[in-house]
Amino acid sequence: MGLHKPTVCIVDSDAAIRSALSALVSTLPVHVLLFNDAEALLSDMPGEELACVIAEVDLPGRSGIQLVEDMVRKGRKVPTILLTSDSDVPTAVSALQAGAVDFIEKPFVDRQLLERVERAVTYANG
Amino acid sequence: MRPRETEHRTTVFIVDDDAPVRDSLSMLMKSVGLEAETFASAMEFLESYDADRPGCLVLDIRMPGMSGLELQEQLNSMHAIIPIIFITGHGDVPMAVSAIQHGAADFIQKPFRDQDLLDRINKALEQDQHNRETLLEIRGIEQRLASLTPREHEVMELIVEGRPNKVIAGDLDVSQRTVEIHRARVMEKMKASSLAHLVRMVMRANQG
Repeated sequence: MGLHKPTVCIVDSDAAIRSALSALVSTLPVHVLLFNDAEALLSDMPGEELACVIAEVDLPGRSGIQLVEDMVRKGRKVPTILLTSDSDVPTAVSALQAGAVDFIEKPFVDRQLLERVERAVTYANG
Repeated sequence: MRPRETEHRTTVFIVDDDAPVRDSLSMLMKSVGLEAETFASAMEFLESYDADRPGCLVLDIRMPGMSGLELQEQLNSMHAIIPIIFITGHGDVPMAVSAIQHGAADFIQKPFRDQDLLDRINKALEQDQHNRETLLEIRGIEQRLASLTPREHEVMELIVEGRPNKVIAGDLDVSQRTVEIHRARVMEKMKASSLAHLVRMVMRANQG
């Protein structure tokens, strides 16, 4: 483990959702960073302290699934939870096959998301 | 090419409680030259399941008795590596997510295009072949590891840590010449062509 607190990156183009997710995830002992889109995260990725990414699937520009693919290609297997409001089985399947650890439909229960982030963070540290 | 370990042919195992579906899937496989076997229930499949037979499993989710997801659970508890492609009439997202998180290769909704299913089957068969090769490789390394004497094993661990013979001799309180002999035996028994090769094999075995 590094010297830093585990970092969770939230990627969503909607400012209101970003801050709601941030407030929620901040209840865990983690450092939270917010990004507008996949490109912003990819160009400014935290190092080893990055424990988990939470990203919307339908981002403007590169999608959440493409973000996962890009991270895998860069050799960064960061546990990524994708969120979606308008989803179907094929999208869910390709998200997981691309390497996402989870795929959660909105509206989700806060506790459910927190549990999954916690699991991802533990996994990253273990 | 490595000689084939078994004479088993790659088979697409089809488990569906609906006979017409079984028949049409089986015909589809045969139309592209794939071997197919059908089962009317999860139990029937389990009864004849043989871990050594390569292939993939095309599995209906909703069946009376043991469901497709329960069969997956059962196979996971047996450490089965056969890739599973789920077929479902009314799959929902959480179900698909959970099936894949539990190791399913794929999850496809009815109705699907034949070609779409065949593409996924071919991918699953490639994955199965790859998994089996990896498993064989790991088993081979494990067998070689098991052929080492305790002393050779000890020396090997120190070699893999990158320690020079002189240091190992000091660690084990033996002569450098003795270490050299052990080292040569380790390399020979492990069929290692170089130190890097030995390290790779040991890492491979530890992953498995």
